[in-house]
Amino acid sequence: MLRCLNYQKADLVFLLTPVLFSALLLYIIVSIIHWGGLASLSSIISSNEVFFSVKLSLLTSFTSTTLALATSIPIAYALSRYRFKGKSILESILLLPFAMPPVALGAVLLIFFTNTWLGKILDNLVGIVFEVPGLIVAQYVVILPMMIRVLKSAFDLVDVKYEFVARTLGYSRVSTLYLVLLPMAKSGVASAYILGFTRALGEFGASVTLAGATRFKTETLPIAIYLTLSSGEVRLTVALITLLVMVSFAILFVMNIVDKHGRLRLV
Amino acid sequence: MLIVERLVKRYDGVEVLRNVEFSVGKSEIAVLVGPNGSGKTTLLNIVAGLEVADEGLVAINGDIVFEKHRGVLKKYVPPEKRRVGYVPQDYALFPHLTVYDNIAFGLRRLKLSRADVDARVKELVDVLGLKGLENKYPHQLSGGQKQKVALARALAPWPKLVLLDEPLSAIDPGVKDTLRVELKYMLRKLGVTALIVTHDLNDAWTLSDKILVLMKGAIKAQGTPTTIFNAISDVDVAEFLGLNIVEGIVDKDLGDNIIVDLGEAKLLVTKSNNRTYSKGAKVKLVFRPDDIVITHCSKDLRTIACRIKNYRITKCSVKLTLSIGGNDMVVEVGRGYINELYGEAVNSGIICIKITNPHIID
Repeated sequence: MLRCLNYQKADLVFLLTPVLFSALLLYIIVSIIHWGGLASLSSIISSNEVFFSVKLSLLTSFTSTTLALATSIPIAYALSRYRFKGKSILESILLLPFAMPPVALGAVLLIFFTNTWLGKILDNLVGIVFEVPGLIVAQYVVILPMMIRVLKSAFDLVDVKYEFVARTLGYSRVSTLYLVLLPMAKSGVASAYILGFTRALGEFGASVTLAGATRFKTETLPIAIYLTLSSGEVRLTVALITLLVMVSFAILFVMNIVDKHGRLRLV
Repeated sequence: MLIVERLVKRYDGVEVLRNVEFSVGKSEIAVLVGPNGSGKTTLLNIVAGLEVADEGLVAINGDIVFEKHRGVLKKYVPPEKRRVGYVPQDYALFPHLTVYDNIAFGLRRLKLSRADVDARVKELVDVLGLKGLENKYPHQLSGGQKQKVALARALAPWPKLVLLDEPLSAIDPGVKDTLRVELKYMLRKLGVTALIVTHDLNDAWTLSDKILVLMKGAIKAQGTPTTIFNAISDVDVAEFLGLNIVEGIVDKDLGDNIIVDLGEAKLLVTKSNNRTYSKGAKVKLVFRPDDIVITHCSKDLRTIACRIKNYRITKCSVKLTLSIGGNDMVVEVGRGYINELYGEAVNSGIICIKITNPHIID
């Protein structure tokens, strides 16, 4: 706070806004946890159902984010490094799911997997509708556009000259991508992953529409929160929310540390 | 060696390179000089294979690496198979790798033993004076050190040709001259064939065995630093090269010499070509600022009296702008010279000069 002495009024306004806002947010969260009671929290968290939903959430989020990263790298590379006709249209199509309500996305996916020939084949092969893979598909579709956007911005910041040099030193386009571009954009890659992961962890709308809300089957953390709240188990809901907040906070905190040390700007 | 033939490149229908043709001999250092936006970097990228031309041919050491004729692509070798070293503007050292790993980057592709990689890196570190910097990261280096690391990285996998894009533009003015001479010395010592692109004429004079002047997408003049002046047939090129251009009218053709009327005075000029000029023809005399010799005034037809328009004193020379018959020209002479001998002339505002070997263009 001592350094604040050098600040002018405008600086104080800028600094106070985020502080006040985060204080308000923290107050809301803490008051709910307090209302739920910390003592009951620990016993609830150790219950089988909570353990199941945490495990399922982490597992599906990890799978969907990893798949989304693997797909978004070549897509972001193409959007960042090639000039071609219809690029803007292509980019708009790819980012479209980002602008849609998740529940609408889930409905679109549900209809696709149950009513079209391609969708039916895929559903028969993997078992998507009202199954665990459905959770992964829903999360994947929701987070992919966001990850493409973040990665493309990160790639755009790396001067193409570095790749030019690597090409002349005998490396193909693909090895240049892995040996030069990705290491140089590593903090962007890390934030794409972490943003995608936290978003996947909190995904509800698309997941519940496509994979359903079945206890001990497709019960991720957000779905568990929905189920407990709708059956009136409010204390359990609060316990689950607390858990989700803690996991998300830990992930975002790590991301901000990476952010500072990797000198990363998101957009 | 490098051969470039009838190269054409268009961006959205606009020609940025038009029928570019030149060659660079083995172990020769060619400097491609031109104003900003003349298509220099595009040309380098095409030679490296990083961009594809719309027409033309590129051959390196006798192998065609690019050929497109009447819109049909006959040959395109990708950059990773051309064995061309590339030192981009601002050097683009890999920030996540040490100096050692930057230099070794291209060697690791060659499936050499670790000892061989080590030996080659050491060799380049020694030649380029980078000892002790092997474990440093690019952000810890000075501009000159970065340039040398970039050069070492480009040269490490034994390229057939090395391309340098504005190698001195990121160097502090104070050390530019020293580094320029050093760069030439290193390229010579390593015997590399080099094509250097720059907008700085000082680079061209110092570094090159051959100068290529690229203007508006075409090679307008080429030659050695001494013969390039005889190859000028274009006022734009003369202006870009910082030459004086004096316009006059032919008064009399005397065979080996002509008399040119400059309006206020007549000047006897030895021809630089075999042409005959008719009386009244317009000509331009082109010459370097140091082709002017300040002399005592006389009735000799090779001596003319000019007005001094203004003068600018630099560290060790005086630049005078002289005027005769509506033409301005710049003279550069040593400070001591002008102080001792012609101080009076500067005060009176009139100075007499001789022009040695002006080049005549129409």
